[in-house]
Amino acid sequence: MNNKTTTTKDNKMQLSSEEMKMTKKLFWRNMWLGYCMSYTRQQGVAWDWIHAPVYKKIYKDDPDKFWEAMKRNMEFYNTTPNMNGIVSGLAVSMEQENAKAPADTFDTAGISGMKIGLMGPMAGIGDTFFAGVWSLILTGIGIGFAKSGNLAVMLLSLVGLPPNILIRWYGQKYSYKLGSKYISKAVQDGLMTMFTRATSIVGVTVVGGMIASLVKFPLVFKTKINGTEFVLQKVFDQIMPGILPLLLSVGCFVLLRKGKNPVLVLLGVVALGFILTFLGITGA
Amino acid sequence: MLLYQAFIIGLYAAWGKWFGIYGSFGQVMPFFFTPVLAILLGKSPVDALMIDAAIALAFYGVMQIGAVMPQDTGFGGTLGLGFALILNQKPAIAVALAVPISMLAVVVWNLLKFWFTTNVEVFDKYIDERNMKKFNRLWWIQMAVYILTYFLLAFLAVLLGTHGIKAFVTSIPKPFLSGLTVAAGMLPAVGMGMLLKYVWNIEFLPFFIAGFLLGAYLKLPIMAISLFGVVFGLIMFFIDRHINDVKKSNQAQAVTAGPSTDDDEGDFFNE
Repeated sequence: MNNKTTTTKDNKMQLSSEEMKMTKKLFWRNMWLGYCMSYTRQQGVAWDWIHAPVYKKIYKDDPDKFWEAMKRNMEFYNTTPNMNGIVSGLAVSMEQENAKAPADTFDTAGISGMKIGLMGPMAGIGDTFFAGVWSLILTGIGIGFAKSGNLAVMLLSLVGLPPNILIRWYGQKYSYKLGSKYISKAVQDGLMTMFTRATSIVGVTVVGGMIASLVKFPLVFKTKINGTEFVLQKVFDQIMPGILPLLLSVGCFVLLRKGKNPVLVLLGVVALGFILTFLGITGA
Repeated sequence: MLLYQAFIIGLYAAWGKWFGIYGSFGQVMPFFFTPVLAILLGKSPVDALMIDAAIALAFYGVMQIGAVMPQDTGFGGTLGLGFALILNQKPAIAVALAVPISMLAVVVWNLLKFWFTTNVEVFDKYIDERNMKKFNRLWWIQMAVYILTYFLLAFLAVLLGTHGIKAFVTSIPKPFLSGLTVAAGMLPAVGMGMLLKYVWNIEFLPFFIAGFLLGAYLKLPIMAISLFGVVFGLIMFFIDRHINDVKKSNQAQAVTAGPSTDDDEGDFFNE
């Protein structure tokens, strides 16, 4: 049973040279998704610009259908650009079905529905993984190297790039070839939600660790009480190391969660740093 | 000399704006181009990395999700790094310049985005007119304006602002400078707060605490904590999947037990 499905999958994954050319073209053009976003359609215009040559090929005998597709795809669209290959590959395979189908037998609303249905889950996992976890870890490790001026930090890019490129290429290729069944099944089965949850957990763990190692709250206050030295930092360290960075970060989190303006929170932290330093409690 | 430096920093800012979006490559290549800028400016790449590390730390965790951009960390970081390199200043000075510039630069982005929004109607019109040439032309005009805006902003800021900033930086009193260093060290807390806000779910509390304790008590490096995070994520993934499977088989049983609701014979015989 298992064996059989893998062999049919392999056969299905064969792309004709024509399809390969299209897949490559789409892969490179999908790199442009994030540019020139608008408030009303976000990436809608970029989507159309990216797919125009592909649509032109698909609807080469039918300019009416080509312009209809262009108009239809100008709709609101917004997802994590890294994950767009999956939606893009699917959309192109559906447009091809539309081109082959006799007039008025293919409901193009399905294409829009698929795009709207997938862009949310894709952004959920994509933002969590790429912006929240992957880039966070890479930058965190990079800061460690760069702080001491170590040029080896440039090699980090070799580690950083592959997931981004692989998901773009294989996501687009597989979704184009395997079609909507598999991906909508993954969304329906809750597999996407599970992935997003698991990725969020990695993110939360890393953030916890980062607070301990990267947020600085250097206390310099010390005094003598009855001849014994009283060092404020030592007192806090005895309670728990890193307790002040933790309280500061959780404080920021609570304020942001309550809907406070991030700029105000940021200015508040800067003011806190200055005031405590002028009072002689913290110092560099 | 200043003209050349301004030109290089302008190019670097434009490159950053281009490469930050193209294929999302900028996101996964931290510090890659910092040494290049230093070499082009005739400064030490090692110093540049140390300065950029301080800037990256101050912006750490500030992420741009979808439409919302709280700070333009790319542009602010470029100018902070550029000024600090030209004026041979300490990392703390770079942070002091980068943070306010990043907040001001958001205004420029909002203006650009407003212009892109008014262009959407024009794109719509070109599609109605079936004019692909004009559609593509407007796209490339947008791209050119986008890149040129940031080139010119950085170029002019360095060309016209360096003397003023030099005077400002050299007049900073010492206690102010240590206040600045302390504030820069605290800033990652804001970014951490933003990240937590994005992923937070009370069920994740144990993992947050575990991550913190691994860092605070065991002093584990970031890589090790990340790998522990992967372990936690996998555990929860398998638990979730198991719960999901149990739920589904319960549903399937309910369906097969119910009268004449199943039309899936295969499933029925598999039971």
